[in-house]
Amino acid sequence: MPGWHEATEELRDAGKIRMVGIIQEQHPDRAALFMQWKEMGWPLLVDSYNLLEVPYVPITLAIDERGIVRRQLRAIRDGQVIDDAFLEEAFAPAVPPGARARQADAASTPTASASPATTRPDLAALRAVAVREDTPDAWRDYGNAVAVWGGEDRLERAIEAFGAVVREEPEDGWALFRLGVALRARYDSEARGPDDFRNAVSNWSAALAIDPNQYIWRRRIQQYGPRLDKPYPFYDWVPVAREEVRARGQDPVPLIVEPRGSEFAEPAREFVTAGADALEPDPRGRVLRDDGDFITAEVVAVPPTVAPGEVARFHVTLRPILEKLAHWNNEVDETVIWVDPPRGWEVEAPLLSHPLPPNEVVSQETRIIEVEVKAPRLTFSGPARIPAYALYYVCEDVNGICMYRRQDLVLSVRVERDR
Amino acid sequence: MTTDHRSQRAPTDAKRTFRITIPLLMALWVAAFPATVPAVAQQQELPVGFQVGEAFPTLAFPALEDGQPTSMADFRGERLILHVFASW
Repeated sequence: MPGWHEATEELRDAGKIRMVGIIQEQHPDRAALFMQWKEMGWPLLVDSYNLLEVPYVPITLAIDERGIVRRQLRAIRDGQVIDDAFLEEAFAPAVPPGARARQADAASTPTASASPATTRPDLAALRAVAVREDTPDAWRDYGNAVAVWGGEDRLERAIEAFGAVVREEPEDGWALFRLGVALRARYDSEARGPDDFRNAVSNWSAALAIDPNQYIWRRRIQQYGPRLDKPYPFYDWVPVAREEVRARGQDPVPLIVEPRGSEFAEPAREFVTAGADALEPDPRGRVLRDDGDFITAEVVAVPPTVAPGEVARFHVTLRPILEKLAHWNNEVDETVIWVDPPRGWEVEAPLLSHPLPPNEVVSQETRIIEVEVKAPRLTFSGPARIPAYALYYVCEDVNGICMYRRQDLVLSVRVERDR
Repeated sequence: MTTDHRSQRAPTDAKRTFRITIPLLMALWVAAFPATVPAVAQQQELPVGFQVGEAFPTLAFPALEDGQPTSMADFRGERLILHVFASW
């Protein structure tokens, strides 16, 4: 994309063309950092739900003044992005540049959309229709509209709408994908539900099983999934971008959701194990248990179903219960998890740790540890439960007792021989 | 120097037999179990509104800058290079 930016600089400066972007990303704020890093200032629109229904990216189009596609652009040749004919041809009577044509031109409005949506739809009326008629089409229309135009409760409403579509039409891959997008977005918000991430992955996996050729859907799984399935590290550019932006004397655009583990991970060609000689930290199970009284633990497998010999990446998320003022004590050892795979299963490393935050004696941040586990090549179909536990120092309250505690975990994944 | 032509011909015959037999077996397999043969994947077609001559969809999307719904129709009157992409 920076190549397109550079190659169009003269044309943009001359007022001959304008660059516009549409982002197909779960976390669009990262694109804002990318734009800042590459010093690209053109407008970006966010299509996390893929309402455009594009099967892949990037797609580059030359569009005339009336909104008609004139070229599909595939490569920059000799520094030129577009032929002179596009720049010189008179496609339509001139319209003042930048005219805000909010009223859609009926003649040029596409056919395939439940929400042309150039003007604000009546969301209450759309929902009333959906509730009254209770048809997939009505809920789909409402879901697509609320995803763009909804207010503070847009995620709840989108989950309601796409969930209703999926209940009626479980083979609607687009509704499954969009339900996953909304669930993951809620997981990243203060309003997260206990199973939002797990359900998002489950819906994305179901969508991909219906249409394995949807590259955008597959990227969501790959983003959080095992290294063997990754084509490349997705967000390894983030630290570089921040460093270079700071070197220019600017503050990098803050990210709402920090990329972590799987999103930085290098792809792998084979499953590699390490640390097999690590000592189990609590082999006799004597450390006092935390049964979720102080720290909530959530375990999500990506993907949720594997074939024999395949790998799942587990996201173990540990959150202090804020209502109880529980908090980490950072004066001692790191938070660790120990994974004890059953016979035939392999774990990339049995003992994994989360670093302590520097210069903070106590803290209440979310700690996520990711670990990959490989299923045996010879095994039966069915649910698999891999025992694990977390160890951490947690304090009960402000000036309360701080104890080293253990929380027993189960890493659950389903094995399907015919997957 | 003498040459044992038989020893040179022997693998050639075997190779010929191999060349004939394997495709024959594959053809029989395909005839017997057509469902096990993967279909050749086709390039996914772009949706309506992306082909030359079509009007690009005027759907609205939240603007990254301020979250305000903005439609591609808002850019009418300008010649655009539209880039649909992701930063990953």
